[in-house]
Amino acid sequence: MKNEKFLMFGQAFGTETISSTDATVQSTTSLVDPVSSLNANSITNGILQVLITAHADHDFATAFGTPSAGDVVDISSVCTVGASDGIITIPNKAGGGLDVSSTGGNNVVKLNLLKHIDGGELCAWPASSFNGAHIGSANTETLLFFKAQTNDKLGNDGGISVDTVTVTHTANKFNDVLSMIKDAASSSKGGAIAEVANVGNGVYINNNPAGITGISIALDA
Amino acid sequence: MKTYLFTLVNNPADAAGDGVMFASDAFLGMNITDDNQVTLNFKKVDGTLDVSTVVLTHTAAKGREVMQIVAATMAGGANMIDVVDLANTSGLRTMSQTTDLITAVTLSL
Repeated sequence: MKNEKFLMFGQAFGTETISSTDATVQSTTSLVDPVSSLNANSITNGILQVLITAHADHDFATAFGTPSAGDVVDISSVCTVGASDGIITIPNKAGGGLDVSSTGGNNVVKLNLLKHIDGGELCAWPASSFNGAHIGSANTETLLFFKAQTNDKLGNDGGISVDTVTVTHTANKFNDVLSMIKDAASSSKGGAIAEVANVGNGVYINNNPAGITGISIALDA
Repeated sequence: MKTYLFTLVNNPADAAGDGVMFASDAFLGMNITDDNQVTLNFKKVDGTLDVSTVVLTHTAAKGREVMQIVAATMAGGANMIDVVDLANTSGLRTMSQTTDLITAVTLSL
C-alpha cells in the first residue's frame, strides 16, 4: 500500500425548484438531507445559490435592474438562510430584494447546491478497496463495488459488505468506465487522489471518455 | 509497515484519546459528512468488525479540498505519516502538506 491511490466519486449537486406563495422558501431533503446542513452562512460560503424566475407581479430593488417576466435572476446575495431549518427568506424591495407575488405559483424559486455537503455524496476509497464492476440494468449503467467503509462484514450470504457506486453513462461504454478506473489507479497518473467522476464539480479523469452523466453512491449502512 | 498517525493534543500525548495510529491498510475510505466535516473510516483499531472514525472539522464548503490534502498526505512514502498533528504549535500540519483548513479533529475509536 506504499503508493496507494485513492479513487473519488461525486454525485451531482442537489437542486430543487419550489413554487412559493410568499417570501419564505422551505427547502426539503430533495435539496440536501438533512436540511439542517444549511445554515446562516451557506450563501456566503458559496454552498447555496438562490434563483427566482421573474414574474410580472414582482417588483425588484434597483440593484437587479428591470428583469423581464421569465428572466431567471440570481438573488443569492440578498437572501438569508435559517440557522438550521433550511428556510430561505427573500427580503422585500425595501430590504434590497423584491416584492414577491401574492399569487400562488408566481414565485418560482430554484435552489442549487454549489458544493457537496450531503453525507455520502462525495466519497473516496483506496484503490485497493475496489472489488469489481459489472453492467447494471441497462447498457447505460455500470455498478462499481468497493469494500464497505463500515467494515462490518455483514454482506449477503456471509460475504463482505460493499459500497456501491452506480455510474450512468453513454450506451455501451462499460469498457470505457473500466478504463477510467484503471487509469485512475495507475501509478503513472499524477496525484494521490483521482477524481474518477465528480459530476457536481464537472471533473472526470481522461476527459470522461465514457460520457458519464450521473453518479449515485450507496454506502453500506 | 506504513502507518498513519493522528495526534490531537498538545505535547505530550499522554491520555486516552490523545492520539491514534492505524496501519495504512486499515484505511477504508472517507466521505463528506456535513458542510464542514469529512469523516475518515478505518478498520476498528481493536480488531472487531466495526470502524474507528476520525472526523475532521474544516472550513465550511472545503470538504473536497480537505479530502485531496488527506489523500496526498497518506500517499507519502514514509513509514509513519503524521496525517494530522494538532500538537504542532505552528498549526495543523501534516507531513507532506500544510493546511489551515482543518480546525478540529474528533476520534471515535
